Amino acid sequence: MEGIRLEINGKGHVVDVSPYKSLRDVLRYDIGLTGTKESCDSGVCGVCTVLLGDKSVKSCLIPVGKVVGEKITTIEGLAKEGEFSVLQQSFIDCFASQCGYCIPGFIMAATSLLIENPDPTIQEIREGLSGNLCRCTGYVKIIDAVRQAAGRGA
Amino acid sequence: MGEYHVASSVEDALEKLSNCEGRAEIVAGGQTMMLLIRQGLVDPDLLVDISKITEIRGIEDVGEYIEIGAATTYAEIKKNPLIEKEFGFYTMATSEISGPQVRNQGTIGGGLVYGDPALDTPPVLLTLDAELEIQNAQGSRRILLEDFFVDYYETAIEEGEILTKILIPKLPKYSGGKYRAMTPRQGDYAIAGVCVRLTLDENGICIVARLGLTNGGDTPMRSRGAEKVLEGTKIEEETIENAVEILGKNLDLIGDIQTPKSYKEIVFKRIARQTIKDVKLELMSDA
Ligand SMILES: Cc1cc2nc3c(=O)[nH]c(=O)nc-3n(C[C@H](O)[C@H](O)[C@H](O)COP(=O)(O)OP(=O)(O)OC[C@H]3O[C@@H](n4cnc5c(N)ncnc54)[C@H](O)[C@@H]3O)c2cc1C
Ligand code: FES
Ligand code: FES
Repeated sequence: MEGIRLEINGKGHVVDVSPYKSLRDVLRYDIGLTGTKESCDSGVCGVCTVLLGDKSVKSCLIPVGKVVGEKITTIEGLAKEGEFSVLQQSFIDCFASQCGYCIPGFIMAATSLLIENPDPTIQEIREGLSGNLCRCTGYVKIIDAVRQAAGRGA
Repeated sequence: MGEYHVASSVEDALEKLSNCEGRAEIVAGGQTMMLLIRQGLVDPDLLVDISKITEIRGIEDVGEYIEIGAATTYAEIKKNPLIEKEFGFYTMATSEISGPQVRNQGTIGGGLVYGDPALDTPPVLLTLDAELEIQNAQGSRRILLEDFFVDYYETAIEEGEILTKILIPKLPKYSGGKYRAMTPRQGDYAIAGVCVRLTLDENGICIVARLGLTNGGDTPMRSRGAEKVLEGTKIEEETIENAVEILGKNLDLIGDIQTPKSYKEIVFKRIARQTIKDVKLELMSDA
């Protein structure tokens, strides 16, 4: 067993795990990137959302053997040189977070949305975030935050 | 430890499947397979990943048909202009599937082979008279989608076979359709879903009616009884009522505490009635 090679946030990693292990568990427990959260284990809640290339996926539903050779981005990969991404900053500015557990997933889903559609309508934002659940905020401020970031680059 | 093989071609995948001494499984998007593995329902020795095989990914106009590779994702289908132009209601139904993350990974083939009666788009493909191409070590075979669904989570695919293509015949003129589902929240699985496709002749008489049902029984299914009632008529109010009654009789529902059978039946009838009316109206105003 040679180990599985992964490219996460621009950096190479080699992990010695079963290729059936979920990408989420590898990120959290083998690599130590705990910004990707875990909750439902069944693809429903969205807290484990990461990007493969530009596309959002639920990392609890991705066997790690699938993503060899792909560019994986987690919430830890968004800030550049200590500066938050536009979206991260607008989540702060709009007070979009309460307990915060769902927020990395929302920011990753919204990042993917804004790459595909830089200036979404409120309805498009709702649809773009429909794979993520939040038990605290009632979504209003989360949508405000995405709207505020829209058009300014994800 | 199980092995993972990312197949480069259908041939490569078939070979890996047949050479495996233990239990080999196909994985496409993994959106169902990962859950099955996690729940211990399957415990493979080898997973053959077919999602990167370019020959079974993509959408093409081949004259009479629109051909969709089995490993094409829902996201790719949803934003494809060919599909939107030929069967806009299929595009709309694809938007009902969960959220973007699941659509970015989940494939049309995975949704069909799993045979889950709760999925949104297999009944839409039934109303479109879709056909499938399946490959095995001996060659390939064609089968009508409606013959593919055998029983509860059981389809006509055999071990060692790969679903490669979905072929959808282009619709004749004066055709239209609509899928309507009742879901607790956006992106949730449907409690009930009905897809209606109608084709009229120039006098407004219905020559083809198709009604596909999500969660209406053990498999994605059609209500043939209701289709027969509509065909050959001008789809007047009374005909619609008769069709909806028959559709109710075709259902084979499982009730639960939140949504008992009697309630689901009402929902089915209501959305079927409304959807038949909507499609007819749309066709009349186009004509
Ligand atoms: C959170 C969540 C919400 C969902 N919500 C909805 C919803 O609202 N509506 C809806 O319609 N669906 C919904 N789905 C289901 C989704 O449609 C299916 O999970 C998806 O279509 C499966 O496709 P896949 O490519 O990921 O399949 P996989 O998981 O890769 O495979 C599924 C099965 O098919 C077999 N298989 C796959 N491709 C082939 C092939 N080409 N040939 C032979 N065998 C093959 C595999 O061996 C496996 O048994 C949801 C799923 C999740 C996780
Ligand atoms: S933990 Fe992955 S979607 Fe909930
Ligand atoms: S802020 Fe608590 S779950 Fe969203």
